[in-house]
Amino acid sequence: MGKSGSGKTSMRSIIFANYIARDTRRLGATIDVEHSHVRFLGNLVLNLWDCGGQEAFMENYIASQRNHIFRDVEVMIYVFDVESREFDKDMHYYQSCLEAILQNSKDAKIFCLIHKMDLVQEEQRELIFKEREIELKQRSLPLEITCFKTSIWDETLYMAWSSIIYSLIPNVRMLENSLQNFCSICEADEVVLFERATFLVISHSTKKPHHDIHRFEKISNIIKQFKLSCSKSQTLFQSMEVKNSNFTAFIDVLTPNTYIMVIMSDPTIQSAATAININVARKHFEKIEKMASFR
Amino acid sequence: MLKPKIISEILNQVLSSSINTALLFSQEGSLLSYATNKCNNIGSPILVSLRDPSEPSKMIAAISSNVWSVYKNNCSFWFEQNQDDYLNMIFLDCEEGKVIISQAGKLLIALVGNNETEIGLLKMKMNTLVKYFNNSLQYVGDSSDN
Repeated sequence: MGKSGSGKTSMRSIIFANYIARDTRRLGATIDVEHSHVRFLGNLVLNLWDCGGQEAFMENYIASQRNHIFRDVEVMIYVFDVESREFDKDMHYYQSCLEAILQNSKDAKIFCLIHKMDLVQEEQRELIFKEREIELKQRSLPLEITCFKTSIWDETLYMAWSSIIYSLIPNVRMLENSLQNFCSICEADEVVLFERATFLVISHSTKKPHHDIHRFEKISNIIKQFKLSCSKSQTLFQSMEVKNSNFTAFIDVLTPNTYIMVIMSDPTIQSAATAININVARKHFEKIEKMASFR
Repeated sequence: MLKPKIISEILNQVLSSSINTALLFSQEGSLLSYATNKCNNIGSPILVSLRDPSEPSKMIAAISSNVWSVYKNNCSFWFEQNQDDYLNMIFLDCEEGKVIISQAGKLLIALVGNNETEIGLLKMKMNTLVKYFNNSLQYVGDSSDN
């Protein structure tokens, strides 16, 4: 949810419908609520309700459709436009929504995205974000919230959504342990698990620290673009192996719903051995996924 | 799963002054792990001049797997008649050395010795390796379930 024009639909289109940032200019205003179902990790179905943000609709949600909209909510993602002039009004709607959530589904997780951060000068971003975060946290009491600063023009959007998704995956601990084991057995520097359709990071295991903390989001972005250009030449992206003098990176399908990326920096380890390891691990991860779906 | 470094250490144990390379590779010929003497001189000067130290081993793996599959495919007629009798080792007496190839699990192992090596020694070492790897590599390297 969020104010009109704050970028909710743009966000959704980029993450779930393979739009690139430029294409979102074509999007018009959302009328009422747009429902979309995203199959995520195979059996997890994400019901996204993209709620149009014009004031008339907002009033409607809070008043007459209150039960319909706010019942059985797992997650509420509220988008704030950082440039918005009517901060108090935004806050008013936000708090009304919180109230409704508190009444109808009080276990919902709440995420606030301070969006369009690209419009703020680079030096001020952190400062403004901190300011807003404190303000929002204070106003959201007694509910716990998580804030992210985002922009559709860089990797911050992926980072925010990855953390949101992460909080929704049922047996994430088990997945993480398996990934950790896999990483140490094949002596990889880093193993990252991506969701297949959205290329959001699900989990990762790092043995050697890397200086760039935004690398996953950058990779998500790059691979997604690459997948798009693959589909333009009417082929499907399956896997790739990138090698230079410092490291080898493998990106391959792991299960029907995930991609795995393995980074190896030891030149004595042959790439065929890693490929076999990925192949063997596949069965194990498929089993975990099946177990998750039985629950 | 394979731990390439540990496999390489195991392979390293069979090396001697006359046996200079030991390698593990898939049936398709891609090298998985290898061990080779520091003073490795497999013979041809072309091989030594290459920059990638694993290059000679990769070549041996590719050639050996090809030899193996040719025999395997063409001899199946004999082997099917007698279940106990199947291809389990190939010796190649080359101009500049001796090669022995055998199967462990679904993967292949090759040892390369120079002309001074006795074939019996190669065979014994190979048998030990195969016995060792057979159990642990049972499930690895099945490319058909890809």
